[in-house]
Amino acid sequence: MKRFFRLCLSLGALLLIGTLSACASQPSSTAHQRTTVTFWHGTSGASQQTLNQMIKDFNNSQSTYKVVGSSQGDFANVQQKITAAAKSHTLPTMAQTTYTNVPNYVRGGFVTPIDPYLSKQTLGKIDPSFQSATRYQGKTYALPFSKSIRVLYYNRDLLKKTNTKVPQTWSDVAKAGNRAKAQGLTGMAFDQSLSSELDSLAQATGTPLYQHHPKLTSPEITGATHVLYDMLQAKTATTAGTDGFGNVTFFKGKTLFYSGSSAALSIMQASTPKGLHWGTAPQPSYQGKHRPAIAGNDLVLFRSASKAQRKGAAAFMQFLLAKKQTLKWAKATGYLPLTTTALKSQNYQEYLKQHPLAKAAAQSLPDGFLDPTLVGYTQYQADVNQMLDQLSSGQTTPEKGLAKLQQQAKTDVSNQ
Amino acid sequence: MLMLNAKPTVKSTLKALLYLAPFLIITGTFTVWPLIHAFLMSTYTHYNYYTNKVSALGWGNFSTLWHDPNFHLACHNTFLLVVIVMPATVALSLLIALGLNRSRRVAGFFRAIYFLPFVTSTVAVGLVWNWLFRLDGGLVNHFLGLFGVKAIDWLNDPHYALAALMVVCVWQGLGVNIILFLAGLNNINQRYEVIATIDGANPWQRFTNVTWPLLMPITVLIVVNTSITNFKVFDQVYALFQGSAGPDNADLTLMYYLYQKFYMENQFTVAAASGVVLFLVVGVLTMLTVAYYQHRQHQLGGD
Amino acid sequence: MRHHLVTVIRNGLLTLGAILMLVPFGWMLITSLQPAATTLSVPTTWLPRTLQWVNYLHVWQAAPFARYCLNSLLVTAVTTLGQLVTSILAAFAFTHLQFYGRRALFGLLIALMLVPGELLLIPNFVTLAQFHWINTYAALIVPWLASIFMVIALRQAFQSPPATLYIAAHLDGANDWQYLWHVLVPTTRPIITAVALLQVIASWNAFMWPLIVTNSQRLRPLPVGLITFTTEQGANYPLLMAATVCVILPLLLLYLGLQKYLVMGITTPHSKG
Repeated sequence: MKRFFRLCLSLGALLLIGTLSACASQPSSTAHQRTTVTFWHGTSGASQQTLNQMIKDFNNSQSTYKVVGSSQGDFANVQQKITAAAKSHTLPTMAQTTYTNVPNYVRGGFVTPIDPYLSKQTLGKIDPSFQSATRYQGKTYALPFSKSIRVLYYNRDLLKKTNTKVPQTWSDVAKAGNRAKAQGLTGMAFDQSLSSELDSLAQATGTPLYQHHPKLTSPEITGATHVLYDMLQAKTATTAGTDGFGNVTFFKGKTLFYSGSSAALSIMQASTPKGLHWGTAPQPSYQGKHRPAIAGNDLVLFRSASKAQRKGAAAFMQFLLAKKQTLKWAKATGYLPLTTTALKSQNYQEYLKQHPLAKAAAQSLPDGFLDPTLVGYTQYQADVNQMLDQLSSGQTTPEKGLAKLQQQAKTDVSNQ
Repeated sequence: MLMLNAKPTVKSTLKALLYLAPFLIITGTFTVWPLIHAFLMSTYTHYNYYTNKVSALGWGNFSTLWHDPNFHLACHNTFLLVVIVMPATVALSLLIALGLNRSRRVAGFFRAIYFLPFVTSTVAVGLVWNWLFRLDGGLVNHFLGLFGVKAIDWLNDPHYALAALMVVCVWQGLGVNIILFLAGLNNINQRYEVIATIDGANPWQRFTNVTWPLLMPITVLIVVNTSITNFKVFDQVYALFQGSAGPDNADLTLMYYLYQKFYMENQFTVAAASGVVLFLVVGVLTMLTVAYYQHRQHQLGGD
Repeated sequence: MRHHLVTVIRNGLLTLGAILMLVPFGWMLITSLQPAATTLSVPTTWLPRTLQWVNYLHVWQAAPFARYCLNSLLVTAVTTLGQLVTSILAAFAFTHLQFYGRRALFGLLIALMLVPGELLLIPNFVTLAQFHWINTYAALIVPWLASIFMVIALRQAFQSPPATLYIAAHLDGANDWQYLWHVLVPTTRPIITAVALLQVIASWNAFMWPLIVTNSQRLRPLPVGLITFTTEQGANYPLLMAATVCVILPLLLLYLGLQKYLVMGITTPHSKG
């Protein structure tokens, strides 16, 4: 026993010494007077590699600032870290988060507007589709970064087999679903949460799902909810449940369509089963309108950063918005290019020609929309998700669910 | 009995405090202080978490909980989880430990296997079970199919999702308890049993009269620890249901509720209040259990 | 004859149970050897046609795992040893020393075991920030140097040796300190080893806390490395499983190494004192 303890102790001591000396030999990062800009993000895999390369390129492109990016886990982890760091005043210079958090952050007093550090011209480069989300209370707080849009994935083989055309409208989808069901197939695979689909449908009716005065019991939203509910009831559509994403079901080859995020494109390409052929199309329209929801993450600047750091972060943001960089980012990750110039550039059009699967997202962008920057958004969204969850498990009907949601949503947005 | 049953004096208290000091300092800083903090926060009704500005006090957070159907659901689910999983885990692990304690030849190998689930991180456990419970191609349904049971969508059917979670909790909890029971059995001086055998006791009598009473201290520990673990189930839910609380919140536990309120909805004070409620409820229940066992222990002539 | 039958049945049941325990691990191993392309969905193949050993190489190259390993070893070793020391001392006080409020304090400890960890996360983060310990090894180790579970477990264990042992030691001229380390600790070795092992596992698998209190790769332990293989739109299951196998392997080896300390019955305790 004693020997065992002694072994443990000496092992521990050895390790301690080893690691401490390893720490001491770390090169000190105070390269001559460069201002260090710390950046927390939640990327992994290919996007992380691309981002790291871009950070390196930025650092090499000038000698005033040094951006130090560090991955903090997934997006949920980054949120937690921001909450903890804001509470203890240990925030980095900038971080990746969603613009819908901005009202909370402003209330907490730890974000700062970007406008003083970025020229109007630079901000003006951002594509109009993303513009609405950048501002809150008349100031620019969030810069779009990793952005995606809802698109429709379809199984080419099954469409041919069932003699179905790529659907233009949601009623086309429902009809195709009914025909498919007769042949033992399923029409549509949704993700675990239906909220992006409902969001898009509601937007098409002209009554947004998220607004300061929620109108969730209106005939428009009820109708939109029924589109999804009726397909689930008719068993022509399924939700992913614990699979998380509908592409798992879609890749089993028994489902005609998958309504998903354009960000899924690259992982889907990497994991397509042998013998399955699929394509992408813009999300179907509803009541004659095509309003796909834009999602993804943005960059924010924290108030605790020094003036020099803020300027450095702004310089980095400007770098990310440069045509070359945003195109590099888009091509490597499957996210959308962020500026109009980049979207319209010859370079990107060529790329789309060579990669037709990426076309649907780029085409959809002008019709796309973003939820308003709303106080109480996170709770509102949680309540919407819960209602949809109950709908898909058959525990409630659109009418009952929306009536309850209306009450909850009203409290959510009025909660200062 | 030298010092064992002596009355405490100032001197002996000081000496004890020296022994306790390192432990108390750490626990005080990293457990007691945050707990006080949470207690205080649960009474803030108008509060800016980041700037630490309290504008109003009251019991509003507790009344929010009282009126929140999700909180009721979380209490209900957690209660079911503890009431079913705790006895199942303890009974199964005791049986297995007794079995392993007997069959010495193969025991080492078996012990390692039964210990495996505990070694694995919950994330991997979640993924593995996610696959085992699948509707199509899942091993659980395949197995039940052999007995003519119709395939069940364990993880997506609100009626079965809690049962699925229970299975995972039992499976993962066995390893620790087996190890603890085995350690306890080892601690029982073999001679006691030898004497009992000579006295002509059969195995059952030996168990009830010798092994079980001597195993009591470790059993109390295991019962309390398993209950607490199951009151605080969170990781398993998160991993099994891909970051949701199961279909239609079927697996919403108190800890998940707290997490949701705190990190996803940023309702910090409500989350603190739910933590306080959890703490108080579990506290009372645990005290009752411990008191009961101590009472039994006295009856059985233990310490 | 009857005895023989009982043994057969017992071993049969134990084997069945063991198989149930093993199935998920079999799946993990097999998945870790499958090509990534087939597995956007959780894979269901039992017998892959080819074994992709190269997955393990990819895992090693995907993140600074050598550094992660070193951190995990250091943090786990120091945490566990520190915890053993604080817990042994505290448990001794609870069982062998008299002090005012002993019962009350012990009751309080049990109550404190109930405090949900998620509730402690941010307040503790704030405390560490005040100490300027964020992004240091201290943040990974110090908060975990006291384990209530371990104190309670050791208190139970320290109660079991007969009081005569304590008296005999004192008659031999040993003081409390000597009795504790030379008699009590060796006597209760199986339980101490068991709880230490549990602590090693908990510390080795810790994910959330290390992620929150460290900002740079330099300080992070192995489990944080696992998130390298999950993305916004799903995970690379084969690589994730290969990495998981790598993370649990050292624990298994440790367990096998420690097994004889856990298994051996009480040999005659030190009689020399």
